[in-house]
Amino acid sequence: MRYEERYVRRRKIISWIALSLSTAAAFFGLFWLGFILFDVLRHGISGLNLELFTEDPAPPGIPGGGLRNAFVGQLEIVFFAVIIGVPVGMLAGIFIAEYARGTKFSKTVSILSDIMVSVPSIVVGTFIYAILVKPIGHINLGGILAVAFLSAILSFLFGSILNLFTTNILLKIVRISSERAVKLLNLTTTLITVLFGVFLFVFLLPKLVDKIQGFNGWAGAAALAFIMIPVVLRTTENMLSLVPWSLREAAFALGASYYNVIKDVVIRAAMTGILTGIILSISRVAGETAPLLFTSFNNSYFTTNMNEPISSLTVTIFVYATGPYEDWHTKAWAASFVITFFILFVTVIARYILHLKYRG
Amino acid sequence: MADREKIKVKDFYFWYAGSKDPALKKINIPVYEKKVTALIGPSGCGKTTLLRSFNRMHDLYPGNRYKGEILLDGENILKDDYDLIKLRSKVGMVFQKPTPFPMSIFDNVAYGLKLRGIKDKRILEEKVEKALKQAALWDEVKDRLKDSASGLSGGQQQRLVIARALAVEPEVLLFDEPTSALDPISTSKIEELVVSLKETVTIIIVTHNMQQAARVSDYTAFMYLGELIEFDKTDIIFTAPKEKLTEDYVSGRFG
Repeated sequence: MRYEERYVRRRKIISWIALSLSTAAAFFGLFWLGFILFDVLRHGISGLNLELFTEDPAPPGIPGGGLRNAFVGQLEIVFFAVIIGVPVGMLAGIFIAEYARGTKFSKTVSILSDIMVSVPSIVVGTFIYAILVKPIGHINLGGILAVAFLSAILSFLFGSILNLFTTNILLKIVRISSERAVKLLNLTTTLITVLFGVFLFVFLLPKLVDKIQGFNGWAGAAALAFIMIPVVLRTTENMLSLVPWSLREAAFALGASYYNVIKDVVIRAAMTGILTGIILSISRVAGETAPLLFTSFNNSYFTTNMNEPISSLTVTIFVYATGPYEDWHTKAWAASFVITFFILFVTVIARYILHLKYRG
Repeated sequence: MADREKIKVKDFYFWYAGSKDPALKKINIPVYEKKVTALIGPSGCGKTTLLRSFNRMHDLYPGNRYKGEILLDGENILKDDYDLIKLRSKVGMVFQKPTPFPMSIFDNVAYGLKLRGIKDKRILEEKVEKALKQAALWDEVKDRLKDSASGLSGGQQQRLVIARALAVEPEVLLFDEPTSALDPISTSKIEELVVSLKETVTIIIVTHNMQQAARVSDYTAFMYLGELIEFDKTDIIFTAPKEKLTEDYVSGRFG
């Protein structure tokens, strides 16, 4: 009896120690998180006023003015990053999880995107700098490659949308479902896409070389898109692979084509998860500074022209916080407050959607 | 009057990807029109594999191979150029576990119709109602057709899936152990349904439950280790089988 009691007590003590250590660790993390949020709130709220959103910066050293240029620039860059990053990431994820499921190619892409997710964002920034900032504006190999890269991305997007559209027409309106017809259609859209890309290249080359000199908003958007793509790709892939196979088989058994199975059943079943992943990836890139430093850079004037350097909140915070003026510091705090709570808000919404979905 | 052969399986072999030994060996079996044919046998005997060959479900996975012929109305469905979408609109399937799609009850039943390009709302409504009535589900769901299908009970979901398969008016309906995930009351409802459906469609049903086979089917095929041991009218299989193996199995003296 005594023997057993001793061991019971020992186990209780060990359990108590483990519990208190992990609780302490959790509170340690939470404390600093709360501290940061509280500090941003405390400092930021005093700098918040209407002018911050409606006025452009005053000349350096002179108090007053706002950060309208940075708010608008940030939204614009993130918007274009989403336009590029979400379709590419989602379509690639669908390809990996569905059409190329289980192949070596798909496993390689999965691993590569995992590596890309963990690449430091400043590396992405310098990479984009090397292909979309430095060479642009000059007719040389780099400049031509940059335009080719842009044309390729844009024509890929065009081709995907065209293909979705024409496949829909073929299957729904003309009601042709033979594999040969689908193959022919794919061949045609590929051809049109390539032609479109070539046309775009020829069309863009003189334009971009004329208009863009060095830092530009497109490069910033491309850098953020670059960070988004692997995140969206992996989330899409994971969410699609969670959809049970029996559901796909059931749709196939009704005579659906693979395209219909994916569009009507698989995507629909996984949509909440994919949406959450997209929102989380947006909140992730919205807080990035490093990739924008070398790409969209900064602009003290208001502009919506993506061909020029564009101001963003994060770069502005970096410049203002390290600047010499008291007024700049206040504005940097205010901007930090706005962006932090924006990201917090977006993340909470995403988590809430996920919670709603998996509650039952 | 002799029953018409809807499907005829001739010297049919099947190999799963990467496997040298065939999972099905030299299967010869007729399936009679507007009758219920049951496939019975112990686990791993190939009855589900055979069932999934009738709508070429195996084609979803690369590397699976067929040999021999499966004639549907005299046409070999194993031919390379046989259109699978056409085949699967003629041969519907109901799976072991209910598989409602993530959409409303109405859209679930209308899905197959929409795939075939039917857009007219009135026609859709008519056909959905007819299919739900055929599947004995209409009275339970008529007031909540817009609700999500995942809110239905397991038995209701299975009848919904049957309605979905019926809506496109298939000629043959395959059932893969449709009641193994259901309670006895839902099971008996599905069984009644199967019997009533044979007025319009040809049915092939795979079941573990021998009483079920005896209750619902007109013909029974007993399979063992990838081979067809015996095929005959159900009452003969259960009362006077010719093979010793069949007799042992149906009388529960197996092993």
